[in-house]
This record gives sequence, C-alpha cells and structure tokens, in this order.
Amino acid sequence: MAATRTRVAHLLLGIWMAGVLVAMFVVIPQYEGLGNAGRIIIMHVPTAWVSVLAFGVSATFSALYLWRKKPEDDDRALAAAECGFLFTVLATVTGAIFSQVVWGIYWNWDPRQTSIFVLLLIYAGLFALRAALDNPDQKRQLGAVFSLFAFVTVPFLIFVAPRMAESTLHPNCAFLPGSKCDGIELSEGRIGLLGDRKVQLLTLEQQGDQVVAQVIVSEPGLASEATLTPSFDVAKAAPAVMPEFPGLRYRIKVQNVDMATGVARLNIEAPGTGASDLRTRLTLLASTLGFTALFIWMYQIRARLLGIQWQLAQRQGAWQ
Amino acid sequence: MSMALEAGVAVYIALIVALAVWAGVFVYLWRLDAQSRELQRRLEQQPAPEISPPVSVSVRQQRPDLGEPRGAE
Repeated sequence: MAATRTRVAHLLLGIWMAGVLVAMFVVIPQYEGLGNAGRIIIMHVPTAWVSVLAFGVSATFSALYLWRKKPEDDDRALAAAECGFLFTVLATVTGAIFSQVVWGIYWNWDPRQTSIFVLLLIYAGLFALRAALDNPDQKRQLGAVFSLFAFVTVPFLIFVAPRMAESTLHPNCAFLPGSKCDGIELSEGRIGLLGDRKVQLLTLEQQGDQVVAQVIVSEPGLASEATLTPSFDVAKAAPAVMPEFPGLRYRIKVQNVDMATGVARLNIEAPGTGASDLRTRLTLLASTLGFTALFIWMYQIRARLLGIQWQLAQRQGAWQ
Repeated sequence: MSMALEAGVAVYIALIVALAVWAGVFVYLWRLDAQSRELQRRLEQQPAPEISPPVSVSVRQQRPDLGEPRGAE
C-alpha cells in the first residue's frame, strides 16, 4: 500500500514538472526587454535553492552520524551532498546560459560566479577526500567533519559574498517587474547591473541644485547601447529627471548621490505588470516545489543504493 | 532564416526538447527506484551469511628419535 502511494506520488511529480515546463515556455509572459531568454529563471532560481537545501540536509545527517555513529546517517549525508553538487552544477550552467544571452559572455568571474565556483570546489574536495580513504570508519568520520565545515561556507558564498561586491552583473534586484529593488552604488567609471541592463556611470556633474549623471545603458546581449542622463535634486533630496530605458517602460533614477566621493546610487522605477506578474510568480513557486520533490526522490534512491552497496560489501567481507 | 529559428516556432521546439529530456530523466529515475527497491527486498529476504569461527592451528614438533610427537594428546 505504501509502495503504491509512493509510486503515485512519483507519477504526480512527473506530471507536475511537465506542467512547469509547459508553463515556463508558453504560459508565462516574456520578460520585458529580454524575450524568451528570461524563461530560464524558472529553472535557475529553484535549482540554486535546492542546492542550499541539499547541503543543509547533508550537514544535518553528518552531525547525526558523528553523534550516533550509524552508517545509514553517513549514507544520507553523502547522498544529499551529491544531489546538492548536481543541482549547483545545474544552477551554474543555467546561469552561464543566461549570462551569455544577456551580457554576451558565458563566464566573466563575476562575484556570484566566483563564489559558486568556490562552493563547487569545496564539495568536490569532500568527494575527493572520501575517495582517498580506504578505511570505512575513517572515511565516514572525516567526511562528516568536512561536510559540517563545508556547510558553514554555504550561506556566506551564496548569500553574503555576492552582496558584498560593489558591482556585479548578477541581478541584485528581484527579477520580477514591480518588485522592490535596492539599486546599485557606482563610482565614476564603474560598471554594474540594473535588472537585465548593464550600466556604466560615466560622470557626475553638479548643475545648480541638481546633480546630473551620465550613464551608458547596454541592451541585453550587448546588442546596442544608449547614453541616459538621470538627475538628482540635492535640495529636495529626491530623484529629478528619470529617463526611460530605450524601448521599455522602466525608468532609470539616481536615488542618492555623494559628490565628495563621486558615488551615486542608481535604481529602476518599474511599473509592474499586474496579472502576468502573478503567473510568473506562481510558475516559479511550482518549479521550486517540483525541484524540491525531485531532490527528495533522487536523494532517497541514492541513499538506498549506498546502503545496498554497504550491505553487499559487508557480506562479501564475511564470506572471505 | 530557417523556420525553426523563428521566435514563435523556436519556443515550441525548445519546449518539446525540454519535455523529452525530462521524460528521459523521469523514466531513468523510475527504473532506478524500482530496481533498487527490488534489490533491497532481495537482500532483506536473504539471510546474512554467518561468519565462520576462527580456524585453530596447533603446531607439533616431531622428533624422529622419540617416536611420538611432542604436544600430541
């Protein structure tokens, strides 16, 4: 009975993920200004989330192994770490494809790309360590300790390090139109990203009460660029002129400025898209749930296979 | 431009490819799941072999002039 329920749940997962794919390609609207390339976000964000979840599960079972010394806990920790590694690779690849479409380059050692690469190296180190040890107890013990230390780096590398960077091409605003965006701080000559647009602050010039910024805005794919001149009213401490991005309903604004250091905070004024926004959000949520369920299924299979492998090795040892 | 590369058509081709890849992954996981369950069931049904007791070895030193080996009961 339990086996039948599990099979039905797996079948539903198959249909669910097929539905997510259909919604991703034909139900949600195109992201304004980005065309069909923006749809990859429906895969990219959930895989990144699941990788964090998987590494968390791995660390939990590693701690349990160190406490209870049960081989099953080690099997679960390893299975979760392997799944986490796989989902991190998927997040990296989908991110690189998005990067190529939007900014014209697959890999540019952006802070986000660098931090996820370091994370992959850390977990590759875990697998290399386990492969290098022959003694099963030693392998489990050291693997569990390494896994715990590796997980300590995950929040830093995923959430903290990329946000510490002054300028990054990774969207630091929420991707969905109408959502809140903190904007980016740029000094003269620096490059950053607003939504899906690469921007470069050329100059800041004081003209009476207003500070006028000269900003080069590049189209996704770097197909073309335009120079915009948003301004900031120092007397009112508020954005003044907010020109539209070429061909879009979004406006660029100077949210704050510090003339002493030559730094300006640029941001997007986005109108939002009403109902279409809801469809995108629901698809993103459905995709996240589907990928989480997929991770649980893969993790269970892998943990079971590791358990079988251990049982067979034990029997083989007994017969010898 | 090829018809397959037109935006309206390309998105459906991409959808079909993505669905085919997912179908392949799903079938692979389904079979792997079933096979691993079956293997586990068989392992649980089959009793684990008992470890045979350690083999005892006794050494006897034989002196031809005494006839009987020393240490023999």
